[in-house]
Amino acid sequence: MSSANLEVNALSAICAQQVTFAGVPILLRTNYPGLLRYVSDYFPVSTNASIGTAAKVTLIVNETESLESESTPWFRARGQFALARFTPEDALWFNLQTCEVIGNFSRSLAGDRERWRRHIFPTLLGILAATIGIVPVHAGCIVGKAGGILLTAPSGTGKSTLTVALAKRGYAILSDDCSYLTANDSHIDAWGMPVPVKLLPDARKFFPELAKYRPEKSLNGEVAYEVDPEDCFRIPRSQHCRVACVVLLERSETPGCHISFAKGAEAVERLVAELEPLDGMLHAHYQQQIELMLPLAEAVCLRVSFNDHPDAVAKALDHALSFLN
Amino acid sequence: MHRRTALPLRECFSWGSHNVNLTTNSPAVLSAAAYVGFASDNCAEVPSDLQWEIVAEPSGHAPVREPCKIVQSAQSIYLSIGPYQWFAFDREAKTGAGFVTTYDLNWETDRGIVHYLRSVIAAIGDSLRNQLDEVR
Repeated sequence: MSSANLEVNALSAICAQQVTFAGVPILLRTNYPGLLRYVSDYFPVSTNASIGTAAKVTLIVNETESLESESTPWFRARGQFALARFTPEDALWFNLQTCEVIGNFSRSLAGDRERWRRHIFPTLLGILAATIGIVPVHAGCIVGKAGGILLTAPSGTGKSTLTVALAKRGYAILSDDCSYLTANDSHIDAWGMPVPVKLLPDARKFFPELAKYRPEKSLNGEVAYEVDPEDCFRIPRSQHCRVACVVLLERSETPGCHISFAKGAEAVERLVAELEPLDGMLHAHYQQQIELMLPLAEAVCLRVSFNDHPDAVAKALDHALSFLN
Repeated sequence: MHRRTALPLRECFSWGSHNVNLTTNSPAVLSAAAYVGFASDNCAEVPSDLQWEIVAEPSGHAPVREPCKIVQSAQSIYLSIGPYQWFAFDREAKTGAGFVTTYDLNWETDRGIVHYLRSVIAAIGDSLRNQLDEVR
């Protein structure tokens, strides 16, 4: 199939499946049945066909071969439209006003299951999320008996390292970097993706388990360890939880670890500040994202100021969180 | 995602039976619009039915005529003209947006941008004509 002029609706042999992400129904269509197997890595198949879908995703595989399988991805968006290009031959197109996504992929990338799991599906959902009632937040999330604990921190604070250190103390890990929030009555649910945990090379000194892995170039060009938390650390995964607590992580100049209660409103402010502002036709979706997070102002919120080994910080925070149980 | 690039330049054009409100950050985009056949109009007097935004980004190299690839659905048309230039159009809302490369953002004219716009209006023009035929 030539890719010079591709009319999606004129294609035959399209298979379709209704799936859910973060509880939101999405219609997935493709001319390459193999992709539906990857999808099951990610999204539960929806069993309720009577629910309307929030978005339509069409993934077309053509006969081209990808010329640059290791190209650095390129992203641009303007107004209601966005483009995520993974190689010159492989791209996702978005019309966020109509909640339509069209992917045009080479056969070689279609066969790369790991690339879909690590890069393509997270990108697809990350861009689409805002317009289908899901808020992607820059926060790790671990899950204990009382529910989910969101861990927020400015970039470079050591959020992923602390998330792993804390999870090793008996929590499940939902995410180390990006969690997806949805509203559920008066509370907030968090959802995760089955992506690797990403740790910068200096994490090696804290986690001897990393010795058998090699850091490699990640999607954004950083060199990092990208490891499966179950394989590497024996940490179970969780895909969904109710958020019980928000932790604000901050680096301190004072050695040690100091934990105190903070106002939930500050957590909301921090998460809102990291949202991608949407204007024009999409502004209403941006406002809805902010409103969705407002119940977090009533959640338990802790501030952790630290300048200590991650295991020591994790131990102190684990002890502080025990009151939630 | 580069959503926030300011587009301080704006001009309205007549294009066949349509009126285009075009905003951009490159004078070469506006001059290319005139070159490909858009007729300058008075924004205050004529309401525009097509709202387009085109962001120019400096490429640092001379213009290259890239082939145009089109992906289209019932709702939208997506064009890529090389790896770093694209345009998308919503058939119902008649809104469009895209990115184009130019050697220098201060250039008043750019052959590559002319080629880009010709590709855009060829693809969008077909869609608009088909819609008009359906209405008739």
